[in-house]
Formats: sequence, C-alpha cells, structure tokens
Amino acid sequence: MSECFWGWSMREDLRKNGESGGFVSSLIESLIGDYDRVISVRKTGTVFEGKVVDLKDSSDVKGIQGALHSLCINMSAYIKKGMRTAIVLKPCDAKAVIENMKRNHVDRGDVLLIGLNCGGTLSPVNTMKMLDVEYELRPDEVVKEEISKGNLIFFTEDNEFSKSIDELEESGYGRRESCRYCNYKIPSVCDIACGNWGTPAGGKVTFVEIFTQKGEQAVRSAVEMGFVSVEAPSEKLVMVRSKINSSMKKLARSWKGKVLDPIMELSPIDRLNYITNTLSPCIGCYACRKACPVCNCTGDCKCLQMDPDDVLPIPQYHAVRLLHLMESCIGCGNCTDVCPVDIPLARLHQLFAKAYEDRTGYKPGMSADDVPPLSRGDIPEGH
Amino acid sequence: MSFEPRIVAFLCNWCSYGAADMAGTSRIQYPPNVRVIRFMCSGRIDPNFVLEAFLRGADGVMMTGCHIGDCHYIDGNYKTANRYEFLKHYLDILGIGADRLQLEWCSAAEGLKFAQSVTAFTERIRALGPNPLKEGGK
Repeated sequence: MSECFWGWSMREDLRKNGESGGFVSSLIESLIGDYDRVISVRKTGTVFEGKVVDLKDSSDVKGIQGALHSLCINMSAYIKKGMRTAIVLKPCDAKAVIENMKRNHVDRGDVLLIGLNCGGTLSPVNTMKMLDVEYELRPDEVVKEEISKGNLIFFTEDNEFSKSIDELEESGYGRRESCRYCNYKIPSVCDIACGNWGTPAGGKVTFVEIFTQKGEQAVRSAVEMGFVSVEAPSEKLVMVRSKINSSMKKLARSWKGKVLDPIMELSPIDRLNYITNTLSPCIGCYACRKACPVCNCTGDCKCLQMDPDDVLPIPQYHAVRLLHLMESCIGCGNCTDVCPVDIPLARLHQLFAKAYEDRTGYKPGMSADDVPPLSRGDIPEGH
Repeated sequence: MSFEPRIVAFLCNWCSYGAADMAGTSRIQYPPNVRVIRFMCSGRIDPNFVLEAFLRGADGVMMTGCHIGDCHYIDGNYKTANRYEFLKHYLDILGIGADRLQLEWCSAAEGLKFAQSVTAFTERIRALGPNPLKEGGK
C-alpha cells in the first residue's frame, strides 16, 4: 500500500524558508504532544554543522532542517525503548531502526518514522576541502547545497555553483563512499517518505509517499488540524520521481562495480591480503563498534572482550565483527567516519554483506519480520 | 621439509568423541594431524573458536557432532549446521576458503567413519597447502 501526495506547510514562514515547502517541519510540529519525543536536526551556523533536537513546542520548529547532507549522524541511536518517538531520518537510519526492531530494542508500535529521500551524504571535512579546491568558496558563504540531475550544487546568497558529481567523485570528493554504492534511496520501510524528487520547479512543495496506516493517520490529522495541506501530484512528475530513483540506483550499481566488485574478483589469496593489510593500522579504539547502529550488545559484548593488542594477522575483534555484520551491515558508513586511522571499514563490511546478499538474497533492514536465512533455528538444506 | 597439515578438530562429548574413542579401541589407523578439542555439545562451538583457530595458524578445522536428530541436547546440532553454513560463506569471502572447514556427523558407533573422514580431510588440506594467513613467517 502506498499513496503519493504533494504537501506543504500552512505556516507562511515555514513555507517560505523551508527547503521544499516546509511540509516535514509542519508535520512534526503537529506531532508534538502526541509523542514523547519528536526528533529532528537543526542547523547551527553553516550548512555543515547541526545538532539533533528534541522538539518541545511550536517555537522549536523554526530552523529545523530535515536534510543536512554534511551531518553524518545516525538518528536511530535517539530512539529509546518504551518511549513513543516520532523521528525524521534518512534511509540508512531507517534500516538501522528496522534492524534494532529485530533485536527487540525498538517496538514498531512506538515509533513514527518520517523518512527523507536521500541521494547521498557528504563528509564535512572532505567537503570543506572540496569547496576550497574545486569551488573556491568559503564554507560560511554557502547557504544551501543540493544534489540534482547528477550535479552537486552549492548556493551562496546571490549565486549558485554547480559541478558534475561524477567528476568530483572520480577525483576523491563528492559523496561519502558508502553513499555512492548505496542503492536504497527512498525509505520504503518508513511510515512516510518525503523529498523533493517529483515536485514542480520552484513550487515549494514536498513529495510525500505514505506507506503505512500510521503514516496516513499522522498526515490526515495534520491536515485536519490545519498544519499542512496536500494535493494529488501530477502523473508526469510521479514518473519523474521514479525515474530519478532508478537513475540514482543505476549510478549506485556502477559505483559498486568500481569499488566492491574489483575486490571480490581478486584471487582468494589477494583478497585475504587486501583485507589483512587494510585492517593492519587498527589501533583497537573500538570506535567503529560504538558508532555502529546495528551492533548494540550490552553488558557481555564479545567484541569488546577481545584483546586489542593481539598479534594475529587480522585482529580478532575485526574478524568477529566482519562475521556478525555479514548478515546485518546496512551500509551507513559510520564506522569509516569515526575511524581515527582512516580504515575504510564500511567498504570491508559491505564487501561481506553484499556478497552474502548475492548468495542468499537476504537484505538486512528491509522488514522487521525478516529473519536472516541461517538464524532461523531450523535445519539448513543438505544436513 | 614436506608440509604436514595442522588440523584442529572440535568434537562433541556424546557422539563424535565416542567415535574417536571407538576408532582408537578398534585400532583403526588415522593421521596424527588432528588436535582434538572436546566440547559438551557441537552447539557450543562458537564461530569465534573456528576463526581463532585459523588466525592462530590452523590449516584446517573440523567440526563434528551427533547426527541431526540424535543430539544429546535435542537441537544443539541444528545450530552447528547453521553456523557451519554461515562460516563457509564467511571464509569464502574472506579468502581463506570454505574448503578448509569441514562438518562431519559421527555417532559413537562410527569409529571407522570418523577415521575415514579425518584421513580424507587431512589429504584435502595437504593438497590445499598451508593456511594463507600463516605465510610471511607467522
């Protein structure tokens, strides 16, 4: 079941200043009071900085930014069991929430997931370097960034600067690596997915796709209370949206072919050497374990009991994590972001996860009822 | 010096350890390359133990347990079977190779089967050569 609308805010200031009609801001404003926590992101200073906020009343809503492309944060960590939470998140956050539901850390009934379409996020440090080298801009000049039609566009007060994202990424800038080969752009596991794909140019509206009854209820009550307004989208632009989605997915496939497939095509010995060498700078800080949204054993966590100073060819800590995440890595890239010695951990985890997906067809983070093929407790085939 | 495989074998207490015992008391010959570690159940074999064996230089790892349906703890070996399949995928992607891991169901009466599977596995590892993680002086 899924229904599509164009939606916009009824508050003049939000409609004018909001990214695309302020629909998400007004929708979450309508949810304050209904939920224990209403969580989103607010810009602080430049577009490269922001913080997570828990909205308490209508005055908090101003300045809420649904999508901050350069804020690498996993929103799923802000959902606490037993608290009714409405949260705005990107597709990989949503997959993390689903994985947490499987592990009984989150109840489906407690959360309202408002997803945002996502074409990829940017690493702040790399982006500032790129602004300097490629765009010749200062970070504080930038008022808005956007990925559109294969271009990465930065807006200043009175001008816009656009460059091909392919060329940027070839030279090492652009989106984070895990975003380049991520092929999940519209968060269909959420209750509602919002975005600016498939909206008329300059129309100041948000394209809203509703997937669940709960999402429908939330939008309907927001309309009834006069927070937002919706109308049916034109058929042509619905097509445009799905076209954008499929072209993004095509790009993701070609990136997977450039990053992951060459490693898989190595001979087993070379692949083993690649993995061993990539992991060798590890200093055993466990930051990747702490930043991982799906890895959340508490108390007697086995990984943390491994000796960080073992002299094994692959640190046993990583050997176990590669094993565990083979069926649950959602590819959010947080591990790469936090690594102090810049090990491309997400690439390794995705290498295992994607290969496992190709072999078994199992995709993590897609449904809370999906159980990984070899964790069902029955006898596997051939035994 | 020719290559002698070093194989770690995880045996369950109730069936496969009995099988190894049976092979011994029946004077059945099998290669001395296996180092036997006894578990109360094959379901206790944490994938981590298998990984550690490889990381510490084992050329091959054998997991053995009671036949499906015969587990002393009813369904312990279902878990073994699942973990074995999962580990095979993992070792394959990692590059060590799924061939270096073997799962064998041996009842306490199958001393001959135990000896034969150890012999066959040792020969397989001998053909595969040393554990690739060991090269480089480890």
